[in-house]
Amino acid sequence: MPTDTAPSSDLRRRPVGGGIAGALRRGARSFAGSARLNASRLTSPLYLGALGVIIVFAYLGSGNPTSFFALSLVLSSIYITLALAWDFSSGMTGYLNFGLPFFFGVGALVTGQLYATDSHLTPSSLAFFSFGVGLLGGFLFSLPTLRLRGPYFSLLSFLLPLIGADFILAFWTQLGLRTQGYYGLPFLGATYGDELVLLSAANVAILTAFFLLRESHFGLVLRGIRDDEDALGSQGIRTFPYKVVAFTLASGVVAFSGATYAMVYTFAGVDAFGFAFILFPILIVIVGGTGELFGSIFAGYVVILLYQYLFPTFSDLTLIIFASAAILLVLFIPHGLVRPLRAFIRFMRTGE
Amino acid sequence: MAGILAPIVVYGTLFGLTYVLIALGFTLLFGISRVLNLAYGALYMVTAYMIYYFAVELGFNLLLSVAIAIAIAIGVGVGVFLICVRFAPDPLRFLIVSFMFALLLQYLFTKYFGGQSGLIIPGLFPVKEILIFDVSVSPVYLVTAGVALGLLIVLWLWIEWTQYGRTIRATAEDPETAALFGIGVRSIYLVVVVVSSALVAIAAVLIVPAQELTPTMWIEPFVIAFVVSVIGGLGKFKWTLPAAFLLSFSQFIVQFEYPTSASLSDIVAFGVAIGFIVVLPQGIGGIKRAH
Repeated sequence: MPTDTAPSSDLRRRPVGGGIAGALRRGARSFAGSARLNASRLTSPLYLGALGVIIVFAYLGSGNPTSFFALSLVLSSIYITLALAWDFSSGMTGYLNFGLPFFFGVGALVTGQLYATDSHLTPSSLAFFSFGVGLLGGFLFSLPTLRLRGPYFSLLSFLLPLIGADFILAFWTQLGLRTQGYYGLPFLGATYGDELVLLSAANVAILTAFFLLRESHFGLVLRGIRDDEDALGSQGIRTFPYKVVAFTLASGVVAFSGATYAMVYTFAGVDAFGFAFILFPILIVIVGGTGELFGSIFAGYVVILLYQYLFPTFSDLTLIIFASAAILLVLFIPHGLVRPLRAFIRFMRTGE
Repeated sequence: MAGILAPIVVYGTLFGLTYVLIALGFTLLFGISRVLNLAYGALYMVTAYMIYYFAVELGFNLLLSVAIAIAIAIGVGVGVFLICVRFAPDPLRFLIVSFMFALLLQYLFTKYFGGQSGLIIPGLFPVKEILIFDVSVSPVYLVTAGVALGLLIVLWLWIEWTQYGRTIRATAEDPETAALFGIGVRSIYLVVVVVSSALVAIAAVLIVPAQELTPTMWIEPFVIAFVVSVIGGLGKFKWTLPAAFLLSFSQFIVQFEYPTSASLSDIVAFGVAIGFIVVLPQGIGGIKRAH
């Protein structure tokens, strides 16, 4: 049974080293292995609860497919995808990545450019192509930067969306991009309800994949990095390739999310590099609990629905409320709300 | 190239010194307390908007407005630092909270002053430009450069040559041992935060009259401070001057060679920072130590 502490005794028995290619192979093998070996983990109450929440909201939203409620749920699903990616990479490893908006913007712009090049491309092919570009971009970004530790990595990642926006503004025409952004992108679905079903299905797939990885040997190393990276190093485990794989996967998912966002609004522009696309994912993960994955599902719907329904009344004040809430949560409930829920489930099961 | 040499030298020098002023506080704070404060740039924005609020909206005397704005910026800086140190002492939570504070301040100013640019603060200095080596220069940058140089020297003398400076350096080297010898580590941190906040506020007072106010104006000074600190070596404040010159000259060489793109100088700044972080993470201040 995977534990949150002392991962090193299990890890010592496994082959280590092998560079990036080795880590990629191990990651793929680990994912396949964990999917087989840890299939029993898929009966976890929290996992099933998270799936239930996604299905219930997809059902509720598709019942009123053109309503504001359905649109709010579509946005919730997009931010949940972002939060899952951030939690999987940053929440689990402790390497805070403020560069999320960069890959989000890349995903949106790649979608715009591809559709401008070939208008016969379907929304799903656009999203998956963006996912691929995100993977590649994440891999290239990770190689030099993940050699840095903690706050240094975070600060560098903070620069990334700024560079992205500046680079695109400087080289719009040379890159063959449209200076005013891309209008008239295809809708992700015929109605908000359809879009919600597609995004919910994507979130189920992403949650399941990340959960299985989290419960695998691979996830054990990631959590070990957060707890004590030096201790892992002293056991002969090269943590760098694991971090690269985690951040590459997360970048791909974020770019996928950027593509879906662009298609929901049928527009992709440089605004997609804005810091709002890091505020909400971080807030969702903080509310849900870092490294918990399921928490992001529960918290995602609560946070985004609250925002959507408060904004028409409170306008700009809503962002002030949310930023204040994020500060208070990090200061006073740093482990989020899922950990108490997990403790409650354990208490109900074992009485301890 | 010869024709653009004079502007590169003049602007490179003046902006280099301006960057020193912006980055000094950030480097000093990290050097002593070892925390990376993402809300640092927000203090620049707080100062700018507070001067505007008191001088333009309330009609206060300009110098009084400046004094109040600096006091408020110091208060906000100390407040954020104390809250973070008390409730989020580990560096990563400190980073998140300080980032959230920066965003919170951005949203607050957007709410109360509007999201559009166009707000202007009346200048403290004459607007008539001066010729240096046939290069037309705003007096704002001359004054800023002079103040930056003066503050750099004062800070250096304070930290290197005074008894209090020695206690600050001792705290930076090893806070636990310093505490063992009776040094009030918390009070040292507090003094450093006050000085750091005052430095960025002074930078805002001098530079902002040449800019329009926008709620995202905190990002640029933060990026400059961060990039200069990375080039010099995080926390090595004595290397701030050469680091700032390296950055400003690189930017102006590119800007004069490729004048069509305004964003290019920012890309140069980011590129230099990334290059240093990857190739020479200890910065140019670390080369000497390693040697």
